[in-house]
Amino acid sequence: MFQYIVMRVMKGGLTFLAAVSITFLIVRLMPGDPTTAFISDSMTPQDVQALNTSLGLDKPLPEQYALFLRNLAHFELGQSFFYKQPVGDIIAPRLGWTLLLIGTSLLITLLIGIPLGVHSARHKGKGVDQAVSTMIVLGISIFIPLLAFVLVYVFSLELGLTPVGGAFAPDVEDSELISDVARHMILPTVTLVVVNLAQIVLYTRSSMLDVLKEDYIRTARAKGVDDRGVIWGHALRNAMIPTVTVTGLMLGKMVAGAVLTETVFSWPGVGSMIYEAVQKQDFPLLQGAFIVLAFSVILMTLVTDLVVAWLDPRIKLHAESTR
Amino acid sequence: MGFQEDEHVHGLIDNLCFAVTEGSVLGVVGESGCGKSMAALSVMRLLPSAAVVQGGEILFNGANLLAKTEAEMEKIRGRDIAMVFQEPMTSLNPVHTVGRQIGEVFRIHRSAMGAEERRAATVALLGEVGIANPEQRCDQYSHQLSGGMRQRVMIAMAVACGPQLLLADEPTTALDGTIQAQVLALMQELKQQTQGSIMLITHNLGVVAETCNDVVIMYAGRVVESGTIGHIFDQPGHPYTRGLLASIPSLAGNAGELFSIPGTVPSAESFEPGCRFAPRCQLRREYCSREVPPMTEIAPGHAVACWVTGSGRQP
Repeated sequence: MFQYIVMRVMKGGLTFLAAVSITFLIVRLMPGDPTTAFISDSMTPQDVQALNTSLGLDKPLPEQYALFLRNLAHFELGQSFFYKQPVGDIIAPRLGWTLLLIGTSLLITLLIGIPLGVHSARHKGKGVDQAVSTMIVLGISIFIPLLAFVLVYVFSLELGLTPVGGAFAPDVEDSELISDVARHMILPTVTLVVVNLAQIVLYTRSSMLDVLKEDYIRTARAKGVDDRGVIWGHALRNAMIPTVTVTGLMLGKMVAGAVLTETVFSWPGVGSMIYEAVQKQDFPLLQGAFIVLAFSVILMTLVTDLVVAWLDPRIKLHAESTR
Repeated sequence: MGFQEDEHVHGLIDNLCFAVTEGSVLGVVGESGCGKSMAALSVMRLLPSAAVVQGGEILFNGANLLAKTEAEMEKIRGRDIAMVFQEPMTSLNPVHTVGRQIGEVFRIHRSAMGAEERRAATVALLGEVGIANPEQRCDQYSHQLSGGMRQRVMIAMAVACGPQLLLADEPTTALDGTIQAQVLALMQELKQQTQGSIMLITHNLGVVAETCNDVVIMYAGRVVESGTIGHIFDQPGHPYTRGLLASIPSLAGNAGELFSIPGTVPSAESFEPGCRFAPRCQLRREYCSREVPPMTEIAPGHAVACWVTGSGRQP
């Protein structure tokens, strides 16, 4: 198992290097010069030149790339054009908010999705299963901003049950902070859960149906294992292997979904920050956000792979025998 | 028993009647698709969900298994009646160690056993079925074992509680020749120990000759001949049995082409009335397809379902 982890971490490192390199290029290939955001009519060509030098934009591309990597190694993500602060300092608190939102949504999605998928598979073709299948189609095809606006309209504006947006009320006292944040989290969390639940249910259901047809399920029944033992003891772990893999792939999509969700609900996370950074042409901030998100997604994929290896002994043993 | 398909039930097995005598080995022989496995699965009450049992009874120690509840069956399965399947590769759960899968039988049926006791019993059992280093193998997964070892694990699982009846569904078909003989010898040895009976499903008459006391020959969902091993091999009554025996290659035989029965087993959708073997039969008379031939005793304990060789009368 140890060798598998080392190998997998090295792969993750390479993926990260590729991701930051692409980010570096994308930002520099975008239309418009970053300096134009700063330049005002009163600036002399000397001022522009000085600005370019200070941002390191006068150097050839390979040299810029080397500098970029060196700074990255020291966790230096540059200075935000708009906030005039180190990018890291701006992103760090916002990343916390995003992780809180995504983490909670993911947990709830799995806690509801897996049992629902299992239940639906066990009662294939019956009422419950058909209701779930309908839900899957709706969930997959729903457009996040539409769902978010409907939720805000019904629960915040019409019923006044939940706050319209933000993560906490500005005047909240420290003692009530947690419950206030929880209240603010309800709608964005529901949005993300609805969007992602369908995938989890779908995969759990279909892999459960496949697994239940396997010979080893019949073997288990032949031993006298009861229905519950067959489902939870023999089928679920096998069925979870594809489901966990899909969850890993879903994380990237969840981050993308978070940009939309956070923007609609003014959630102070990385997603809404990206939206602002694009509008303000704040390239260092955008670049920093991409890098941090790439890192989070790669890290979460790594965790997923380790979970899959733990679930499926064939994977880690294969890795050990081919080293 | 039949199969449900689009609200229409295709009759698959009917007039299936046989008995496994205590302490003996019954061979059930027939080509692929003749319903042997389905017969065994219906004893376990583990038929696929599309299968419908339309009637009849399965008596085990005098009690009808078809009348038992699912909870009662769970107590019987693995303890009184156990089964070994054809495919040892896919019949073991890939994510659990073999030790855990064998131990599960004890956990269910010997709930008084503690975890350590269970482990000791599992290791002992693995040793008994001829697995070297049982202590170490116990913690391995099925994909780390060879085909022969996997089938030994399956057998260990089946005999863990000393079942009275062991259903073995082509237990050696997926194994190579030398391993086949070892596995068969092992099953017989274990049978001696537990004093149980075995129902051995196979299409290999060589296996039957070596292991069985009694034989049932099945064709297309029906028993066509039953008797002791001597009856079947020395005086086969049914044309199908004769065909099967004639298609065994023999060392002493002439070097000519090997005999084979023309045609194939019909599928359940295309069963014809009367004798189902008639379309392929060399002794066929025009009346054979009129009515189903009854099982007729041609010698004590030896019965045949054939209008021509059996009953001596015409429908």
